[in-house]
Amino acid sequence: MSAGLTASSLPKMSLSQQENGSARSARIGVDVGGTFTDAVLVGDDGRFRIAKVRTSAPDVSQGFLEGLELVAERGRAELTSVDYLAHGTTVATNAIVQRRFDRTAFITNEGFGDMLEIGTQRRHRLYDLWSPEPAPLVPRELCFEITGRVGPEGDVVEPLDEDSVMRTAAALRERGVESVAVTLLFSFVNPEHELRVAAILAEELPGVPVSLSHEVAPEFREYLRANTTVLNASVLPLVGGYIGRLVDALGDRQVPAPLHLMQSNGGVTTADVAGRMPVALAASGPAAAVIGAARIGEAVGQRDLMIFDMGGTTADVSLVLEGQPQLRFLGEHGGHQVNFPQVDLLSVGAGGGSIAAVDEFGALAVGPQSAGSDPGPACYGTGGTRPTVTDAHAVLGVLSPDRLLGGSVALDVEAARAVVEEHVAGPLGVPVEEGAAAILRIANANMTNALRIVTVARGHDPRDFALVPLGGAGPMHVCAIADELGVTRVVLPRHPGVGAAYGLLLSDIRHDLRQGWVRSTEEVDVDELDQVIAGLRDRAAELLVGVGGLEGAELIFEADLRYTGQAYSLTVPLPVGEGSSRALEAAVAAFQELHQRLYDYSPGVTTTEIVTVRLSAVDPAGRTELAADRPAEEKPPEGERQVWMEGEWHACRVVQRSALGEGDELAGPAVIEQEDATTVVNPGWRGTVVAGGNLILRKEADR
Amino acid sequence: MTIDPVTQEILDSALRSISEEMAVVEYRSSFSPVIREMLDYNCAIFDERGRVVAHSETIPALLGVMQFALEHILEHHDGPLADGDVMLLNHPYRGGTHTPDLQVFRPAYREGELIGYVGSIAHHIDVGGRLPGSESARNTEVFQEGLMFPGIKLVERGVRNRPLYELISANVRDPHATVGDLDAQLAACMRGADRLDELCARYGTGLVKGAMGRVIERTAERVSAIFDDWSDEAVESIGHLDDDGHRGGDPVPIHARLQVIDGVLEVDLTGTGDQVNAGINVPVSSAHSSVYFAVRCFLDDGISQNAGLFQRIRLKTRPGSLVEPLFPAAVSARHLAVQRLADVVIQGICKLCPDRAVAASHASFPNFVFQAHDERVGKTTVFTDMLGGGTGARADARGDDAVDAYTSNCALMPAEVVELEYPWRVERSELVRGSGGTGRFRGGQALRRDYRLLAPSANGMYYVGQTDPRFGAAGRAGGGVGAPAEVRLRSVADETERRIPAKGDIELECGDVITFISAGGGGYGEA
Repeated sequence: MSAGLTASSLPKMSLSQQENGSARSARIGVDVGGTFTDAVLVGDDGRFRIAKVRTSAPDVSQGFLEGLELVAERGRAELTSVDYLAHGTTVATNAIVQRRFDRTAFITNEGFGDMLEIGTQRRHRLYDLWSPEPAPLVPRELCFEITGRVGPEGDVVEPLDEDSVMRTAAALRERGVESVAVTLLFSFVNPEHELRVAAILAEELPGVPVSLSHEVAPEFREYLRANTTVLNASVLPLVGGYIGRLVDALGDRQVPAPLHLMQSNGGVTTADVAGRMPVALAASGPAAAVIGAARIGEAVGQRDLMIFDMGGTTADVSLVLEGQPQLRFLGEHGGHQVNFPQVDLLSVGAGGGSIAAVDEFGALAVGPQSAGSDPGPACYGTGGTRPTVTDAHAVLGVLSPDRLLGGSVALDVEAARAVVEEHVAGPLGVPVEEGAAAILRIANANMTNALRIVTVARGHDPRDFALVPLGGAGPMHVCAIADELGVTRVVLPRHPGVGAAYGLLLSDIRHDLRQGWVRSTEEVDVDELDQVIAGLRDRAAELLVGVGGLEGAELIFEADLRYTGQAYSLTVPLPVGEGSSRALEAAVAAFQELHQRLYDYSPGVTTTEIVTVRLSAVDPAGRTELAADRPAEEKPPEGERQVWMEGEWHACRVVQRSALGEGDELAGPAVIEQEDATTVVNPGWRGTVVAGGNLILRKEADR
Repeated sequence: MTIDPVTQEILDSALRSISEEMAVVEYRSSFSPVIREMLDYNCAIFDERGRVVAHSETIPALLGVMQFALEHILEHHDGPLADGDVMLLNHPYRGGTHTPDLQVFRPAYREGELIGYVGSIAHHIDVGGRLPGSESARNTEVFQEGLMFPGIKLVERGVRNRPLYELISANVRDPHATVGDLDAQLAACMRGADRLDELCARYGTGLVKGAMGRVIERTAERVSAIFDDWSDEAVESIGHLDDDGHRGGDPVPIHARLQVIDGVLEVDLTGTGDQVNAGINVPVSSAHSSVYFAVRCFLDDGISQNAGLFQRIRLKTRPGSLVEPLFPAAVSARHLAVQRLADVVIQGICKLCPDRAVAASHASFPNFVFQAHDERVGKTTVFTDMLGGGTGARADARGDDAVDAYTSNCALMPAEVVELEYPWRVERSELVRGSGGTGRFRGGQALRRDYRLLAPSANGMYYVGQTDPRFGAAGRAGGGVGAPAEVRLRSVADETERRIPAKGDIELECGDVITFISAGGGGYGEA
């Protein structure tokens, strides 16, 4: 096989054809990130368009609309013919990080009013005597106690004193509270008192939203449940307002499609549900990209994936097992633990803007400090004076000197060489190219360790996975990281730099519900379990109103089990189809097997407990078919430049991604350029373009 | 062997990553809430000489203690440990800390060549002895504190020592929890050894071993450079335990004299009081961890915790003193003195770098272990909890409220976990207003928790330090002292609430409410 494009694979379609005609309908995803707002359009002809605009501040909805209009224009679609619209937003995440909370009150049991201040009593920084712990989400003067108590079996230990609730309601009114969170002990077993408190508040404080802990996070551990509920209440007015404004603006533009929002669990939901449960959006930022990668992997026959999504400041690494992104139930936002299902990611300080420095002892470190987008890498010429990962790429010839982000920024290679020389190569006493290569090796090692941790923590071997790079920078690192991990397959999506926006269009409508229910599996009352299952089903039906209901949805039941005495649990399938009793038996067997696989042993204890019952309701109605890819007819010219790889300069082919069509092959060393990303194909790696314009890279020896 | 600095950096981060990975494995498979909810465990990698190379970041109280145990094992074992051997040690006078901290070690081999060792230390819920939890301030000899393993084979060439497991199961109160947690420790060590083997397969055993040595050297160089920036004068610092821990008695002084000499920080504790006839003596390994913690607070974030740090801190202790007790003095409730020792050393270092001075944090550490029969499930339960208190105010911020300070970092038991799993009810869990020392910035506030017994009866032990107002958390720059700790009992028999001794063994009956109140932190600056 030649190292180049095969003659037979030359693109056959004309450029003019691509520009002709306007799509009858369009599906659009808009992802608002920290620096850029990305929009992706898939027309009814399967055609794919992208647009990148600066994220607007402070009102990000302007950038949203700008991106929406620009991508529609590029796709020659009218906004009135948009028939699906999904949005990924960091508005909740940013509100949490910046603590832009509306006036929120917290209500709990007598004797527990300090719950938020006490927290877990653990310190965030073990050896730091100087930095204060993060302040609680609600100040103490807005925390209130009511009288009444429910016990662990749901028994009423002390009846609810309604006068104490009335007094609290009066105090809330006096203080002009805009949102309320209620967390009463054992409400997840018996919600009677929480519901009664909500009813009284609804009467006394009409129009003030109330978040109840048994609805937001119905599991045991009161502080975690309270904090999650409080976070929901704190951002509810702001996020609700944002969503409302967007819906209005879309109405003004006569966009017929309802707005869908991406949640932390990697599924989208309606504007209405998101407005009521904004905590579900807290970690939505990186989730869509993972979903998109999972779908693309599926389409090209790769179901076990390690994904790294490299942004400006961090790289987010995650796993897809058997086509499924992995969820976790605990997250941390702004220093506060939150119990809400989210795509399981590990962030490491290895982004394009991560700063490299050599300390006085000659040790080179990369990140976690980042030059971000302001001042940015030195090679952007926007004021950056410290060497970054991007500068290292510039020095090594990876980045095109005259083309970045569609030509909008020219690359100052000399500036990159100067800062790498001054801060890295000089102190290490090596040539500037080796200094730049060292920066990349360290950044790659950081990502490699993170990928290894997420894989082994789930009992897997990284070598069994295909690696997927996302973000504009990810594809520059992918071969090197694959080599470090012993991975021999790489899936390179057609548009890795807009992975999140595209992922929005590939996501399902999805709700992950749970019900804390602590029982020995040997003593489960089957009727009671049936009720728990029915209760979850009812809640799913409510959330799916207006989007197809339960009928259109796949319902996946799971259970969290543990060995008696263990403090934490594992989640396994609960196949309820054959009745609760059989389902439980199957769950216990699955738990024992999973425990053995994850930890290489089964303990002497043989009795198990069920802790939580879970339901994932998944409706694929919104999911878009993968876009077709049509290479340009006039093949953009192939170039060549010197690129430093594996310790020496290579005369390296530079191929435009738009020139590659299905069936094309190419071999490293090569650089592939496109508007949203640059890819480095190392020597020893070989690529084949497959369906949708996606590229599969394989290590030569593996072929 | 010379290693280029970039490869060195990569191996350094890989080794740290392995120790964290071991901690993840142990955490996820452990049984008792002491590990799961309180994170009272640690994992580490050692070089072939038994020096710490990398260390997980879970609890500072276990910082740098494992080297003493491994050193003892390597010195006393007949010949080298074989591949697949696992050694168990908890003997306080043979390198261990207190008896509930079980340590396991396993050699890591690559194709027959010793790479180094991996190990895990974890606080077990009970190892037998006079009282549930095996701890008490009122113990008088270590024999009351449960099983002692002097460095014994738990696993031989991959095969478990069954008789030993049977012995353990027959002598502890909750064998499932103990064996389950030991299994989790074994799983962590197996993972660590496997990963070291893989690392050597990739980079070469010689290179990895060379990198291990260099990691230690580099840390030592960095630590010395920081010490050289400190004042080189000799400074003194003193603090007191309320009493001898048993029958009251006189306060026990903890005295430290600190000085940087040639890049080494000398910490002379020989002025500390004599050992006491109670369970609050500090095994010498724990005295080291306490001092390591205090020093590390004043180092940069980038300093790794390994033998390079430890070899630049030289402790001097006096045999027969509180911090180098003579066998068989009891040590199980050592933590009160460990916290106070950390406090004394931190206050001393504040004199060596005054621009970083902070007020004192609480060192009261309310802790108990109560045993009661839970009629709901028909079994005996062993319940433990630990309370945080106020931390010291800073030059620019108040202290934190209800935080587990200094060498400890345990989570509070959620009330819902308490009530689901034990026959107890948490009646209140709240901050003590006004308990932080006054000042321009006030000290952190103390925590109060009330526990009501729902079972017919319970017995066990408890201890709380810093109940003497003279020894509250010190303020700084004119800031006030934090309020002292106390223990109260509302007895169902006479319905009166009264203050009870701060340390003791106790029997309770259904309906009794026992209240623990920690101490507040010191304030900073004139009010």
